[in-house]
Amino acid sequence: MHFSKTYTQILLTLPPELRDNAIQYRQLKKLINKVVLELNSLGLDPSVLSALLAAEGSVSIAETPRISIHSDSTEGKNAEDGQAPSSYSKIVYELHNDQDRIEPRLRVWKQRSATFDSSAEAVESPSSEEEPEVVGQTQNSDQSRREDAHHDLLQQLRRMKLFQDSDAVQGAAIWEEADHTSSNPTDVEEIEFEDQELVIPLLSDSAFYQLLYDAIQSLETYMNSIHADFTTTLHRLSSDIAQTARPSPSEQAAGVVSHLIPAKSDLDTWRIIFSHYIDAEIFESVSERNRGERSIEDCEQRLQIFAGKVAAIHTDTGRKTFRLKQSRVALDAFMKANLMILYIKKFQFANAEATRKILKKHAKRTALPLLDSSSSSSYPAIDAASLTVATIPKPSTSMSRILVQAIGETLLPVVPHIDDYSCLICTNLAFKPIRLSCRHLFCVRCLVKMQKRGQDECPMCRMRNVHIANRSNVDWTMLQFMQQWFPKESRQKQKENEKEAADEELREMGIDPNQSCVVC
Amino acid sequence: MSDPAPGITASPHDDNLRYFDVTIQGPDGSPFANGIFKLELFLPEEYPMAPPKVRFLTKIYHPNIDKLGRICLDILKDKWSPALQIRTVLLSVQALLSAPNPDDPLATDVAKHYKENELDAQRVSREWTEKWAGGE
Repeated sequence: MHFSKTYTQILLTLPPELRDNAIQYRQLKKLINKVVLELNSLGLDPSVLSALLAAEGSVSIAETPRISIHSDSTEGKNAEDGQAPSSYSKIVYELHNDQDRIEPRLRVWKQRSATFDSSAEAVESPSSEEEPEVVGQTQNSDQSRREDAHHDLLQQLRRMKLFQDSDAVQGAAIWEEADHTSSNPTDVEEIEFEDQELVIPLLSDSAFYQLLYDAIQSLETYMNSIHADFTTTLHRLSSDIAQTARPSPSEQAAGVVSHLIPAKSDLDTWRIIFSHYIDAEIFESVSERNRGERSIEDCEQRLQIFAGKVAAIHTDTGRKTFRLKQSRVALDAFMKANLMILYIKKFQFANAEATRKILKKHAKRTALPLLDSSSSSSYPAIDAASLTVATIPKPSTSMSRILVQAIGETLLPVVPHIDDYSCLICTNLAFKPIRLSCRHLFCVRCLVKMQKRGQDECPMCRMRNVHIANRSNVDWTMLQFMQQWFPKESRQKQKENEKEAADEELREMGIDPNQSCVVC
Repeated sequence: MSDPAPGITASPHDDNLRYFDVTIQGPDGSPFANGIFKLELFLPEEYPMAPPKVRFLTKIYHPNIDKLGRICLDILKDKWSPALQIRTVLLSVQALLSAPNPDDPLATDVAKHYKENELDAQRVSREWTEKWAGGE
C-alpha cells in the first residue's frame, strides 16, 4: 500500500551495491515535511497556496485573477474600485537553476504600489467586487476560500513587512534584505521591487530539490559505470566462450594441423544454450503483437524457465553438459550477467517510481505545482519555470535494454546461429551454398529443383539467373565455414541432398524409390 | 505459425498437416473491417517450389475473389517465389482486402460494380461482411 514500504521491499531483493545507490525516498519525504513547515510559516498552508495558485496559469495577463489593491489599508476599499483593472497581483512558483544549484522560490507581482486588501477580485468573478468583507465569512465555497487564502497571504506578507509603506513607492524601489545563506526560511533573500516584484526563496524546498537532483545525477553516473563494467565483463566472457566453443577443424586443415587444435569443444552445447536463450526472449519480445520490453515479473519468470532449460540439456542430450571446465565457469558468468540485467531493470524501475511518487507527494503536500514544460506562461519573467525540465534530469534510457543489446551484439555472435546460414527455400542449412549472380544464397538442392522446373527467377529478387548457375557459383569460403561451424548439420544436409537426388533420379526413370527392389 | 501476424491465424489439421484452417480479419478502413473470414490453405507436394492453394470459405463481395472463394493474386500463380511462406502469403491475401483491383477481376460482375459505382459496391461489401463474416 505505502510506496515507501514497497520501495524498500524491491530494494531488498537487489544486491547491496545497487541498494546503496538508490534514491533515498524516506529522506526526501522528511524534507517535504520541512517544506510544508516552511510554507506554513509563510502563512501558505496547502489550501491557501492551492487557492492562490489555482488562480494562476491563465494564459494572458488580462485574464489573470487579481487581488485588488487599495491605496489605504483595510478601510475604504470602495474608493479605489474604479482603478482595480489597472492593478493586479499574482504569485508564481518557480525553480531557478543556477549551475546545479536549484533555488525554488515564490515570485509575487504586484502592479501599482499599494497595501493589499483582502477583497480579492478575480476577473472571471467580478461579482466579488460587490461582496463586502469576505474575509469574515465562513462560507465553504471555493470563492470564499480563495479569498481567505489571498487574505492570509497578504496578512502574512504584511507581517513580514514586505509591503509596509509601499503605497508611497511607485514601483521603483528595490529592497535588499537578509543575506543569501540565511538559514531562517522566512528571511527574505532578495526583494526586487520593480513593479513590485517580490521573490521569496524557499530554503527547505531547495534542500529537497537539491537532494533529488544530486541523487538523480549520481544515479546517472552510477549507471554509466555499471554499463562500462558490464561491457568489460561481456568482452571477457565472449572470449572465454569463444575458447570453449571452437569450430571443428575444416577438412583441408584436418590433415595438417589437427593435432594443434584441441579436440574438445563445447560448441554444440553453447549453440543449444544460445538457441534456448534467443527463443526465451527473456527481456524483450520480438513478436509483432507485443514487441518491446517485458515487465519485470515476465522477465523474472522467463529467466527462470531459461535456467531450467539449460539445466535440462544434460538429460535432453544424454551426455555431460560441458566437456570443458572453462565452459561451466563461463556459463555461470553468463547467467550472472542476465541476473544483473534483471536487477538493473528492477533498480531503474524502483528509482523512476520513487522519483515520480516523491514529486507527486511534494505537489500534493505543499500544493506547490509540479513544474514541467507545459506550465508555460505569458509572463517572460517566469520562463525560469521551464528550466525545471533541465533541472530534474530525466531518468536515463532503459539501461537493461542497452545491456540486453550488448549481449546480443557481443556474446551471441560468438556461436554462429544456423538461421543466419539457412536456405530461404528449404529453411535448412544452405549446404552446399550456391551464390547467384545477384549475391543471394541458396542450397544447391533447391536451385537444382528450380532449374528442373524451369523456374529462372531468383526467389528473393526475381533476377533471371537461376538457369545460368553452375559449379562456379559454389561459395567455397561459405562452404568451409559451414563445415567448421555446423559440422553435423552440413553432413546431415549433404546426406539428405544425396538421398533426395537419388530418389529423384529413380523417379525420372519410372521407378518408385520407396518400393523394394524389383529385381530380387 | 510461431509469430503470427496480427489478425491472421492458421492451424494445421490433425490428420493432414498440409491442410490448414485459416482466419483473416478484415483490415481496418476497408469495407471488410470487423469481419472474420475463414479460408483453407493446402500445401501441395511440390511446396515450396509450387505455391500453396488458398481459397475463401466465407462468402465475400470482392472483385478479385469469386463465388467459389478462389483468389486472383499473382503470387499464388505465376509470380510465386519459393522464398514466400504461409505467413507472407496470408499477409498478401489480407492486403488484397484493403486494395481491391477491379482491373484484374475474377468476379466480373463485382468488378464491374466496383468500377461503375465504387461507393455502392463498398456498401454491398460491407453488407456481405456483416452478414457472412460477422465473427463468432
